[in-house]
Amino acid sequence: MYALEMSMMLPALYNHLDAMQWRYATKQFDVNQKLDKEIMYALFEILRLTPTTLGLQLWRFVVVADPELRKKLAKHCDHLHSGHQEHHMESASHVIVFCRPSAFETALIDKHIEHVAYVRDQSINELHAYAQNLRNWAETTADSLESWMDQQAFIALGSFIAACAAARIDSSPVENFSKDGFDEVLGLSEAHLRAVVACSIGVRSPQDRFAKEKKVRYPLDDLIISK
Amino acid sequence: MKTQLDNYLDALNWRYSTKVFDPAAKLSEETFTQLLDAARLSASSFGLQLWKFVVVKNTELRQQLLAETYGQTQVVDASHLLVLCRPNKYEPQMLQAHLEKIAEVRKVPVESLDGFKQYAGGYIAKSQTLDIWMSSQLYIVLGNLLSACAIAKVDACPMEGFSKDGYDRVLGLEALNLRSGLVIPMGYRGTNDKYATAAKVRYSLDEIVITK
Repeated sequence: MYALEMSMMLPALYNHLDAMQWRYATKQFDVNQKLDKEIMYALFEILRLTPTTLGLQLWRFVVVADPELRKKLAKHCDHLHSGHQEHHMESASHVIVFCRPSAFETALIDKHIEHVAYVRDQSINELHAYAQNLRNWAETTADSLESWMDQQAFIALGSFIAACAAARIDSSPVENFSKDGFDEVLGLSEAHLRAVVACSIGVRSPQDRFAKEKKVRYPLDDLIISK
Repeated sequence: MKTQLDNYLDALNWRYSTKVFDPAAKLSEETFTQLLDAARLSASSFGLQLWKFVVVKNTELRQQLLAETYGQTQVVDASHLLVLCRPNKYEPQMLQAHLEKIAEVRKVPVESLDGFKQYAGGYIAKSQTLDIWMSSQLYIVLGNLLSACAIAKVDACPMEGFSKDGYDRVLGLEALNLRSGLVIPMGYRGTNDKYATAAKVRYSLDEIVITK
């Protein structure tokens, strides 16, 4: 039964692999091509459904369409001079800034528990053990909660880039930027948020020479260790 | 564009963190290899790919890992057990090796990559949190791999709740300059997993998307 099911799913997996081979970190987007509302909505839905540790979903996605704001964000990116006039944040259709709460608070756990109770039609009492587990976990990992929240944003990034590739939407992730600078431009501190990573999306420009560069990936033999 | 995104969404809606695997349901080696290939193609900071995929086949080792995973039986019941690892310690030669790889694949002299070397090397040199940075890269792989699994209708259970020291010891990772980062049992859900039918709990878009 499983063998049959799997042989049916393989084409879908091969499409995913084709998409991953197609993608590259786009350095120049076609400024005239904008992603429409319907596409953006579907991408938001994909972000919303990202797998998340313990179901907590401690992220916010700040979507920047405004060209002036994107220009300001680009100024806070430390980038390799690619030979293109503009930074990809400027030529992109949209920039998504992946954010997390600026500080972890136990209220975030309480909010999640209430939400679970609401969606699954359970009482808070029924969720007592689960809630207690979450609180214990937060207490024992208190020292690393901020970097842990950062890492959750990277799960979203990994899934998001693959989704974009599947739909042949170009993307360019950015890690190397001033977080304080982004806070300032987007007013993140007031919203109790901290930027983690960003991603420009849009349609590649025919002038982007990086589109034709060969992908450099280590073969599986170099990566797999069998035990 | 829209159709592909809808398919992707269907896959994400189908998936959940599988608590009970069917021990008899085995993933074909072909599928497993293609899933690892998807992981291999994940985006990576500066393209460095500072990751290794440890595949644990030995049942005795998996039994030992059960104790290091606080008794979560997915590590012994799932068809395959994957441990995503990062270098235990970053070494400058890793960037140099990568530059040489780029030069080889793209048939350019390694000196032509000096600008890139300065750029990536500069970031790495000033980072005080290289271990966290290397770990974060594994989460990019995780996001991509879990989606690939869902697309292929393969169940998975990403795990952070395990003893890294214990895994490193059982798998002999330190000798390989590796540190365990994420544990991912993969296979097929058991029919008795009550979580398979629990409603997915996700905040509404209004709560998580801010438009500027």
